[in-house]
Amino acid sequence: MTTPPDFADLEKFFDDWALATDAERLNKRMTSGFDELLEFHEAMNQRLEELVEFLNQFPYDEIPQEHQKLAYLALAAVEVDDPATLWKASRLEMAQDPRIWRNKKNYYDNQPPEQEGADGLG
Amino acid sequence: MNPQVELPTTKRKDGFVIGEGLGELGTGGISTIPYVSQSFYEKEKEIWKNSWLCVGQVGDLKRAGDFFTFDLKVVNTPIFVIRGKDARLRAFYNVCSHRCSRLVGLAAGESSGRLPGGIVCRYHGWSYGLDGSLRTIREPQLFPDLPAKQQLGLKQISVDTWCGFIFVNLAKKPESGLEEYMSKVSKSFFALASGSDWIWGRGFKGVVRANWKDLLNIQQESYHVTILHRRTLATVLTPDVARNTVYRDSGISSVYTGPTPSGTDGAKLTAVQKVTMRHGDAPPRVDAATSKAAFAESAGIEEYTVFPNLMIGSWRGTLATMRVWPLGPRRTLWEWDWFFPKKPKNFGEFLSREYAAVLTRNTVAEDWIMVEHASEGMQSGVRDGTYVAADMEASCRALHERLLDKLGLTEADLNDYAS
Repeated sequence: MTTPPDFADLEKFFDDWALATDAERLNKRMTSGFDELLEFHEAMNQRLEELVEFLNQFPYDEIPQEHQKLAYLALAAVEVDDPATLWKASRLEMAQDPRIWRNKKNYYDNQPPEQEGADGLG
Repeated sequence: MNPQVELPTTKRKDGFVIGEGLGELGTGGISTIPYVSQSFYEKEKEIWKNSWLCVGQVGDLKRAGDFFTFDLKVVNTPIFVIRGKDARLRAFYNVCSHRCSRLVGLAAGESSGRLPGGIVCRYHGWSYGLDGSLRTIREPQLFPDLPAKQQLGLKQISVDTWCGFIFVNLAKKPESGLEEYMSKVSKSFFALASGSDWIWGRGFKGVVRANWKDLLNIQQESYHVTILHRRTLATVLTPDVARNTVYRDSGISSVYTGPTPSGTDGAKLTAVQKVTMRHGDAPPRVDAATSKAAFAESAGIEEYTVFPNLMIGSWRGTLATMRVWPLGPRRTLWEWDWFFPKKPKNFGEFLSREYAAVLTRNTVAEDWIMVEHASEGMQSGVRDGTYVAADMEASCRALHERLLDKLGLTEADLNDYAS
C-alpha cells in the first residue's frame, strides 16, 4: 500500500467539483464562469499526475470511500481540460448543448429520449 | 471468407491523399428531396426492410434464453433476438401468433431478460420454445379451425453476426449474406475487430431534427473538420491527409482513413493529456500553447460506412459504432457506442476512456447543431440541391448514388417525391 500523498490542497474544491456522475460534471462545467473553471483547472494541472498514480493502486470501480472525492475531481479535470486550454471558454460557441445527450443503458437501448432537438432543453 | 482488401492510396502532387473508386462517382449536386420529403421517406422503407441492420452485440446474449428487444420504428416493427438451447441466435418478430400482442419486453425497462424455459404470452398464455415453435395453446378445444401447429410458430427474421455484432435483415431472402456484406473491410481492421471479445463501455443517444442521411454525411466527410471542429476534432485529426475510398459492391459504402498524431514532438501538454496518453486510449494531442499538433503518418482512424445506417470505426485499439434510426423525414435517433477489449485495469485507464468519450461528445455536439440548421435550410426549399466537394465529400455522393440504386430510381425520378 502506497502512502497517500497529501492532497489537502484539493479539498477546497470538493464541494463544487467532486461530482459523482458525468452529467453533473458536464453541467458544472457548462454553468461555471471561466475564471472559476480556470482556477480549478490550474490546481488540478499541478496535482493530477500524482493523484492518478495514487488512485491507480485501487481497482477503478473500487476506490475506497475516503478517496472517492479525489477520483471525482480527477474526472472533473478531464471535463474542463479542453475548455480551459483550447476553447478559452466554458462552452463551445457553436454547438448543441451536450446536456441533451442521454447515457445509454446498454448497446441495444434504442428508445428515443423524450427531449429532442435544439430547443428540447426547456 | 476473410477480407482480402488492402486499402489503396494515391498521393497527389499537393500531398492530398485520396483513396480509390472516386472517379466513377457523378459530380453533380445532390437533390434536397431525399432529405426532407415525406413521400421519399415512405419509399425508403424498402431499404429498411431489405438491409442488414446492426441491433446488438453477442456479449449481451451469453446463455440460452437470454434475449433483448429492438424496435425498428421506421417500419413499425418490434423484434427480439434470443439465444436458443442449441446456442444459436435467432431473431423473431415480437408478435404473438394468437392476437399479435408484444411477446417479450412488455413493461417499461424490460428490454432484455432471460427466458430459459421458453416464451409465454402474457395476454392469453400461448407458449413458444426458444426456437420459436408453438408449444402450447391454452384451452385448445376453443380453436376448432386453427392451422397446423407448425404454421403457428413465431415469424423468424434473418440474423447473423460479424465480429460479435448482431445484424438482422427483414427481407424474406437477403440479397447477400452478412459476411459478404462486410467483406470490404481491410485486413487490419478485420484483425482488430475479430481479435477481441469486445466489452461495451458506454454510449450516448439523442433525437436530432434532421434526416438520417444528414447525420451519416457529416460523419463521413472531412471537409468541415478544420472549420466547425477547429477546437475539438481538428486537434486530433488532420483532414488534409485523410482519404476516402468508395465501393459499389458489398455493404460498405465508403471508408474514411486518416492518421492521428503519432507523438507529441515536445509539445507542451496538460496534465490531463499526459495522464490519458500514458494510460492508453486517448490520442496524443496538440500543444496547449500553440494549438499545433505533431502529425505524422501512423495508424489512425479507420471508419466504415455500412449501408444504410451504421458507421464502425477503430480508434487506437478501441471500436466505436454510430447508428442512426429514422423516426421521420427530419427526425432521427442518433446513437454512439464504444467497445473496449478489456475492462479498465486501473483508474488511469478509466480516466483515459472518459477523456476520449468527452472529446467525441463535444465534437458531435458541434455536428448536431449544424445538421439541424442545414436540415431547416433544405426544408425551406430555397435551394433545390447541395454541392458536393470532390474527394473530401465523395462519401456523401457515394451514399446518395447507392440509395438511388437500391430504390431503382434515377435523379429525374426524384421530382415525383417532391412533397
